Amino acid sequence: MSDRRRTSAAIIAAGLLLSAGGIAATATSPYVHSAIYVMVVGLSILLPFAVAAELHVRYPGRVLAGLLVAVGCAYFVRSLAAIDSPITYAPARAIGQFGEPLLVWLMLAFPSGTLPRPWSRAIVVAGFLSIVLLWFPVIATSSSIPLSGAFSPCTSSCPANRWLVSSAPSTGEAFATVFRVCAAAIVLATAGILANRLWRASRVMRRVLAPVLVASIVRTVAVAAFVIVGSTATVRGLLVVAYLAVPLAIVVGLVRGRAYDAAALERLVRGLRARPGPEQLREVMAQALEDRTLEIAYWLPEAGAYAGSDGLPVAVGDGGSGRSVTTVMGGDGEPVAALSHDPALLDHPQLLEAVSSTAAIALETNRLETAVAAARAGTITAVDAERRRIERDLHDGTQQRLIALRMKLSVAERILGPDAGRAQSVLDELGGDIDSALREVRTVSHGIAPALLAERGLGDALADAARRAPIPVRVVGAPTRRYPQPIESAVYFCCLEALQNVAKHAGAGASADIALRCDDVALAFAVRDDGAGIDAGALRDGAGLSNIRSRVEELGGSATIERRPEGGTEVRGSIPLAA
Amino acid sequence: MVRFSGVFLHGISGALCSWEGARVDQVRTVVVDDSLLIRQGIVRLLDFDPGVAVVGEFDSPGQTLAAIDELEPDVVLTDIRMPPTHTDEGVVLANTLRERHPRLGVLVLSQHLTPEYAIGLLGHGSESRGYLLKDRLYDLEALSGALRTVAAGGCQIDPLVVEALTGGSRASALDVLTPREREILADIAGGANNQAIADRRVLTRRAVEKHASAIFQKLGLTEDGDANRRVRAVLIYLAEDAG
Repeated sequence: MSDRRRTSAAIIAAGLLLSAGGIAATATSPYVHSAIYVMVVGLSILLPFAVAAELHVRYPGRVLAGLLVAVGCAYFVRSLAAIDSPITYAPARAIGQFGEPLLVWLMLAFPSGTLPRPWSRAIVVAGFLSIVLLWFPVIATSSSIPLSGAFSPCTSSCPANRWLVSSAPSTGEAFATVFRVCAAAIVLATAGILANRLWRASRVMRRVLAPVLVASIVRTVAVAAFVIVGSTATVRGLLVVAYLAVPLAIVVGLVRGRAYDAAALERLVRGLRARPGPEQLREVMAQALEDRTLEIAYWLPEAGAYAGSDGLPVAVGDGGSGRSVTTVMGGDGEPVAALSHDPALLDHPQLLEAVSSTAAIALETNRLETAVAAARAGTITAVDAERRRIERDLHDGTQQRLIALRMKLSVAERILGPDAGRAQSVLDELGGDIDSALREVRTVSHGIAPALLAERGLGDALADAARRAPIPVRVVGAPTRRYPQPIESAVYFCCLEALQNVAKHAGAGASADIALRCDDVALAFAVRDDGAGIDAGALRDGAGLSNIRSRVEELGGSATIERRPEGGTEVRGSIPLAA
Repeated sequence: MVRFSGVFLHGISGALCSWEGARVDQVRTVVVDDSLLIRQGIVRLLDFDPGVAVVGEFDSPGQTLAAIDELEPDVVLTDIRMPPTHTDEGVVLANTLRERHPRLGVLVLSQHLTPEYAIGLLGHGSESRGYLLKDRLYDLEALSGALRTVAAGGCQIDPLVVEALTGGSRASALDVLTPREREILADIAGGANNQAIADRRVLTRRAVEKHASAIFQKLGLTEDGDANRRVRAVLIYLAEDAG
């Protein structure tokens, strides 16, 4: 038997003992004539202890169990007011009243145990202060203590008030009225705060909180009725239900939450069995946590940074984004991944922890894949950078030299003038040679890395490529904004490759469309032609498509080629945008 | 259809580029290029044309701007791609000069056959602007002709660039326009906005807008923004008339 279980058993024992005491006090009371009343008193003391024992086992270290014990004790003290003795009567009536603010504290602190917002704290403090500053004066000034709730066993000819300081009936009545209004206001405010929390809670938290809110509303109605209508039989019945409702609601809420957790984990385990890739894993975990905005970033130890599943670096951390980040640690103490999620999940740390530790191995697998993707993305970036460097070298070096050479030749021709004689034809040839060399260098340089793409983006570069194509090409949906350089390059070269295929295979009189479509998630392209079409199977294995596919897949995208039903061929691809 | 002959637009239509001022006797030219080789080549070649005087040489736009007031050139002959970004510094320089010295001619030298750069140059008005491929630098007649055109307020775009724009397939593009649409296109090419054209042609502004969109439609200019379409329409117009 663990310490926790031992404490829990002790709590139960204490609950049974005090409950028996309360039952004895009411059963022997000359004021009580109802067996139901006795049972309700017994239950109202036992129930908080029982729930406290359970909470102590499941969620140790939370103040909830302590609060419940305190509530049970307060109810026990209050039950002693049934004893026909002036020694117990006044203290029981005075101190037993502390059960109310304790209950409010309990409801507002549920389920985390902390009082979250300044309002909640203020209400709890007000509850305690109202007893000390309003209820104690009532007792000090009233020779017969007025009713404060359903559990005032005697309504008339009660035992003498030993705590009477000096009898002042009108003062006592005034304090009692203010106290009741205060109590009603506190109960109302409690219900309001709970309703607000429920409104803003995540789905799982709603399941946990809803029963407590219901109990709180029952209490609000009961107390309001008590203040307005007075102590009729119906109102007393309602108050009795309300007393029992809160601990019961806590049990129901926790059971519902736990059932929810179990179902979520079951879904998660089923999803993990399918060996999900990075995107599926995100979906499976998002489903389990019921947070569609969940993002996973994988830790790359070599880079010392987080990366998305495409291997491209991402920033992790709230940075004022209003998101919370939970780090999943691996067995070696290194982070595996960071989950960026809805802060509402922080209210429910057990589920978050259970889900992330259950998914840890899948996360680790994907982390390794991400590291590979990152290395690959790095390669592409390096290749593209190298292409741009070569283009610049050609432009700033070779091309300039050829142009200068051509000008020098022109100067030479002018100096020689009519004296050139036979040399003139050689000079002419030389000029033509330099022109050809210039044209070739420009074509090569453009093919390596079109300056237009780097400087002005995909829209202009594709419009230019369309103009250069040997067949008529229309560009639809060309973006005006810029995208990360690797994505622009990939889409550009893929479209170019597809156009070359069209020009090669589509036959005379064909024309083509380049269609681009972009949302927040991906940049998609499609190159369609209306030509004779080629055997899609032959093309699928051809070098053209394999170039397209490897470029797109390196960036985490996909590409397909299909014969169009209306004739011609369509190459499609889509590249996800890094977050 | 324009082939490899030069396009001297000021001679073709007075409406194309506003044509102001007397003919300049000797074109005072400032040469801007970060490549010493190219600057030397240009200076040595222009030496053979007594009608052109190189009054300054710079390797960056910043120095050029600082020296304009003192040197009082007629034309700035500038490379397009220079430090620091190696993209379109020459076009930026031309646009800055448009604000500070509206009458000053700017001839931009480029290795880009792609018309987008020329469109960027003409976006702020086509008068006193020229765009010449560097391949043509050796041809003294073409170079000094372009310098004179630009110095005199004319506008000259390298024929190869215009050909790249029209793709060789719009040879008779202007034939599809009605005479009225041709007139309005000429006005657009002259840099007039829709209101000015409406005033000149005694039309409502709405009618001019309708004509303009019909023109863009017929010329196949359907996808760009309005400013871009206007410049492209002008380029096509220039090319057509030159042929």
